[in-house]
Amino acid sequence: MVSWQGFLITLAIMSAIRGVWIWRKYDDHRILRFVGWPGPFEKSGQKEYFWTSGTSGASRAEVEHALSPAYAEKYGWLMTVRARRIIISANLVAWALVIYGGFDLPGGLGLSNSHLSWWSFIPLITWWAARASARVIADAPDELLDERLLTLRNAAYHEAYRFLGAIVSFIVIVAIAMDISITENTRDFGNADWTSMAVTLPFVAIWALSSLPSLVLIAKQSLVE
Amino acid sequence: MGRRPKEETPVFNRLEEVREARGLSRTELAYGADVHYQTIGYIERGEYSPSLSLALTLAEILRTDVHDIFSLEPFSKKKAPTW
Repeated sequence: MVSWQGFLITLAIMSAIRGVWIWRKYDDHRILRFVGWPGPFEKSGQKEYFWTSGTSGASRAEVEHALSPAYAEKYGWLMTVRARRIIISANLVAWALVIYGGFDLPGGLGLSNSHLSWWSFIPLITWWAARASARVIADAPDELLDERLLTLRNAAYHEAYRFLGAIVSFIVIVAIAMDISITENTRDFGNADWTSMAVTLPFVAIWALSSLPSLVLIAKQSLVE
Repeated sequence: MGRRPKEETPVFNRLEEVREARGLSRTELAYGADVHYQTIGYIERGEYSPSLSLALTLAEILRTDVHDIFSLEPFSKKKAPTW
C-alpha cells in the first residue's frame, strides 16, 4: 500500500533541495528553471559554481567570503578549540539521536513516533555550525583552495572515510545483532529472506568500503602506474 | 583512529625575515603568490612546507634565491643570505 503521506513528505524535501540548488546556482528565471522549462536561457544567469569536490558544494562567492578575514571576525566564536569540541560533540549526539529514533529502538526515549520528527533536523544545525567553523573548506572546490588548504581538505576526507567505514560497520552490526525492523512489513523483501539479507549486508558494506578507494584510484589511471 | 603519518624531512625557512626586509605584509605576499593569507603564517612558523612551485614563486616575489629562504639545514649553520 502506498503511503501518500510519505510520498508527499519526500516530494516536499526533494523540491526544497532542488529549490535551494536552483536559487544558489542561477541569478535569473529561477521559477522557470525550477519547474524544468528547458529554456532558452542566457548563460549570463549562471553563477560561477563548481562541482569538482565536496559533498554539498559551495559557490565561489561563498568560499571567498568564508576564507576572508571578515568571516573570521564574524564567526571567530565558532572557530575556538572549545567551540569546535562542542560542535563535534553536538554532531555525534545529534546523529546518535537520529539513528536511535530512526530505527525506533525498543525502550526508546519517546523522542519519535515517526521517522521524520522535528529533532531529525538537529543535524542540520550542527552541520551548519561545523561548516562555518571549518570555513567551508570541506565543501570548497579545488580551484578555490591553495595547496595547503587542499592538503588539509584531502586529509580530512581521508579521515572522514575511515570514520564513515567505522560508523557504517557499527550500524550494520548493531542492526543485525538486534534484528531491527522498522515495521514488520519491511522484514519481507518480496521473496527475499531476511536472514540472507542479514548475512549478505555486512559483506556488501565491507566490500564497498574497502574497494572504493582502489576503484577511484584505478579510474584515475595516470596517478597509479 | 589512523596511523601515525610518515616522518617528513623538516624544511627550515626564514621567510618572515626576508618578507619584512622587503617591507611586505603577509597578506600582500599571499596575494602575490595566490595563496590564503594564513598559509604564509603557516610556512613562516614551519608548520607547513610549501611545494617547489610555491617556494619558487615566493622567492621570485621576494627577488631572491630560493635557497636564501628555504633550507634542509637550520639557517644558523649556513652562510649569510645573498639578499
